[in-house]
Amino acid sequence: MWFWLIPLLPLAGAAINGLVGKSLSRRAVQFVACGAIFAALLLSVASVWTLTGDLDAIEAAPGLTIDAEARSIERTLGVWIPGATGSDSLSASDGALDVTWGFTLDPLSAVMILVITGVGFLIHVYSIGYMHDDPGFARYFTYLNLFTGMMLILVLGSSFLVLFVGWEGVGLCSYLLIGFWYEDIAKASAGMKAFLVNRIGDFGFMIAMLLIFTNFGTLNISRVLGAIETDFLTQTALLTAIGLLLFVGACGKSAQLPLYVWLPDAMAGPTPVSALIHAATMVTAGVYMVARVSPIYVAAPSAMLTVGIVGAATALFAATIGLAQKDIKKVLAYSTVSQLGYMFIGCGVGAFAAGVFHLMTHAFFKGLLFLGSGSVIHAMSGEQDMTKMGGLRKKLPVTFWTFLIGTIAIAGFVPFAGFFSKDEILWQAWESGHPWLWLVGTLAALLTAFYMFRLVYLTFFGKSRASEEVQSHIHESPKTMTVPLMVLAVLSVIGGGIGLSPKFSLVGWPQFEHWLAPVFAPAARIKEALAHGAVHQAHPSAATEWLFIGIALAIATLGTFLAYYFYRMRPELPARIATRSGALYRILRDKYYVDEIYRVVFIHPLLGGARRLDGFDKQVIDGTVNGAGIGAQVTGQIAKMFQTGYVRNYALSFVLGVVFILWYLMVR
Amino acid sequence: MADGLMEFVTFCITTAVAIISALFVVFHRNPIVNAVALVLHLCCIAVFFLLLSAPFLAAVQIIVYAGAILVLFLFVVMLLDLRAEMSRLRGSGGQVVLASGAVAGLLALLGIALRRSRQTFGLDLSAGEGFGAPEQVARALFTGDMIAFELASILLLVALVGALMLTQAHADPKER
Amino acid sequence: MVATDYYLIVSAVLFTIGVLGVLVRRNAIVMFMSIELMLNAVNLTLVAYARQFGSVEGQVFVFFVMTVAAAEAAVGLAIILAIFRKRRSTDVDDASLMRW
Repeated sequence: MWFWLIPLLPLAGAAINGLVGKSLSRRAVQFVACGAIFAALLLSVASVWTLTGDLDAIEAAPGLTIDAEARSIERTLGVWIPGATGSDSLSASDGALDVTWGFTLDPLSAVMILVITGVGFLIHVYSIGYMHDDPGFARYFTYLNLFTGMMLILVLGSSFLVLFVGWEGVGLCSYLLIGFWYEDIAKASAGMKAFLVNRIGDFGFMIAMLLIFTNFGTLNISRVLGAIETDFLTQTALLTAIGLLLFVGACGKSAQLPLYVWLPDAMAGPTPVSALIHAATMVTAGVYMVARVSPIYVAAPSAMLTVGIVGAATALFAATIGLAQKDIKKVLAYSTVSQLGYMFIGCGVGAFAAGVFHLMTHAFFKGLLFLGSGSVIHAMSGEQDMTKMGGLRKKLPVTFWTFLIGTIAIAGFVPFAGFFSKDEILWQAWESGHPWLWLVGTLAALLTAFYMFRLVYLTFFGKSRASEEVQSHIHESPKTMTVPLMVLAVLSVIGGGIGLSPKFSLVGWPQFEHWLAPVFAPAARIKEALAHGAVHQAHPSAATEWLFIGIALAIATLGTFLAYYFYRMRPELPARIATRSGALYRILRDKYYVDEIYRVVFIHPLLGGARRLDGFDKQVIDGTVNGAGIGAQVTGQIAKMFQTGYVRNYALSFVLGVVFILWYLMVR
Repeated sequence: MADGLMEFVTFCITTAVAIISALFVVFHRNPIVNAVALVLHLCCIAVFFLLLSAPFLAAVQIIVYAGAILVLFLFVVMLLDLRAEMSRLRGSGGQVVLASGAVAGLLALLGIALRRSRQTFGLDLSAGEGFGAPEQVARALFTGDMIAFELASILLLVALVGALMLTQAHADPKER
Repeated sequence: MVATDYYLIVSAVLFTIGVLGVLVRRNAIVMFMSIELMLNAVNLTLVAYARQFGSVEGQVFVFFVMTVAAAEAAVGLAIILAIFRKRRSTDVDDASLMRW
């Protein structure tokens, strides 16, 4: 089993491009980078294929642990932090931390690696065209490979600490990539902002790890999760604390309230970066992590409910901001925050598989949308303001059609991918007894459809509002950019076919939930145990299910129509409404002034404190040190006065000394 | 009785002269006056020596000190022709004040010391007849303190050579 | 016989006068003379004690003191002469090389 090479291939690519990339030709750099990812992709496919087969047939090897029931293969590569006990044992009696480098392949991580390497590969290819003229070509691909490698470590890690390595690694790479054009101070600051906000989340994650270690004695994920079922079911308080703290980390990485502020600013990076990091992969790390430790959340219902509530609130909140944005990438950014909220709604109501399913489909269509916007920006010579676009439909046909497909998918129309995943989440929200979450989610869906089609109408329809000069340069993007768009479009269409509920799955295709069942089985068991055999709800009728499907479709249609009305039929209306509603419009456009509030509440006091400390450092500490020097100087000046050079003064000193000694000896 | 009285009177007169001449040495402006006062002072010391049964030393005092060292002083004074620059008495003000203070303190302490040691002295003296005669001194010098005597002569030789070297004119550096 | 104490008192007075002279006068030669004054006072003390204890060692000591005083005077005056040649002054304060 070679699946442990999967993360290492991109890392090797990063190393090569990082060390010698500057002296290689453009072709060589792009071959190394894309080749590494492609190899990782092939290896992922092969590994997943093996996973679908008979696990017992795999021959045992040292460091290989196979659990057929959980359908997981764990491969340890060596000891990282050697504890006294010698292995990740559960009863570390002397409290020694023991961590090994290990990767676990199971259905959940299989989904993730396929998404990461697949979509990642497409984005790498796209980048060849997009970054063609950039002087930092080699550096870009180094960072991109590094990022992919780190993300793979994150999803494959078998220990919390290994996961955390990947976690921090992607945080670092997102900083490097967001601030890629670092000469522009605004862009560099955006990278800093992302990193700092992430760190706040990481802090929660670290405390959670501490709690886990001190209570469970190990950081190995499967062992911890297994222990929950057997020993820790009753320690709700502890599990709630761990769950909430881990979720804080997830909020940072996956841009939920209140730590979402970095994601819109992160649009300062190159568009493929936004596609990879902020649509398909890094931001989904939080969702992956929550899904991975599902037993913790199921055993701590209040924590799980918190996840759901935060997710729903974020979904609605971000959608409202997206309504009033002019920058095409900002709309997509807020849309991402909103969709991540959906995934957490799914996890928050116990529908982990649904949340992960939406993660996958979202990777497809959001990635597509971002890459499409990149194509638009490329064609518009760098313009990102939608009010200056228009009528690109005819000039950028491929971009237009793929973008439209992505928009239909995100709006949730059947039979595109977004419908299946979104519908399942909302249905589960209602089913598990959280009608408010369903309502909020549905509202957000309405807004999503609206602002996405608003984007499409403003950008691609109508008369062009760009300047003459820009218009003359509009051209369709090169093949390297359009082909990934097309592939992603196809995936956005058929992605849902992998299916979720039995009612939808096409004959012969494996069902997604069934595939992930072994991963979430412990959670299901815990749920049963905690329910203490309470009355099992009657299965709702099929009619109710179809009703909800109908509601979802109706919402999507309504949103689309509203967008059509406001931006195609009566395009002068939005401007009038904006001026009429004055303050309301401005609040939305200026993102509820959250950044400004943060600045006043957190940053100013911190900076003030820092300045005071700096002053303290300069005045007091430096002053003391300097003072010591000055003191020595002054002492020297005083002592200098004794060295007059006059012999008589010295003789006087003699005599005075003699007098003193005599006095001391005789009078005492 | 009269002998004791004579001695006492001599002592008093000599003391007065010694102190006054000492003051002249220290405080007079004219260096020649200083030198002559010193001569007078040395003679008084010689008288003291005589009173203290040290005839040999009295003689040596006159011959060596007053006769040789003082003459040396006078030679140098004449050589440098210091009459032209009468040195002023005053140093820096602080120096004088402090010096006066120090000296007063010194005097006081010496007085205290004397006070303390008074008890041990009576008037009985252990010196016998013939004490201080040249013969006695010579005996001690050439037997017991022989080494010191020789070393003293070497010291004088060194001083002689040193003085010569120091005062050599720089006109002929090649010599020596 | 005059008591030894009186001689000691005189000697102390003469010694302090000598110290004063060293500290106050600026002329190097006169300083030297003051030093001779101090030496003589000490000599007086020694001889007084020699008589008191009947030990001729005291007088031998004085003899040597005189020898050393002679040597010292010779060398010291030679130094003063050498300095005088350079600086044309016997003022002790002028012999300072300090700048401040």
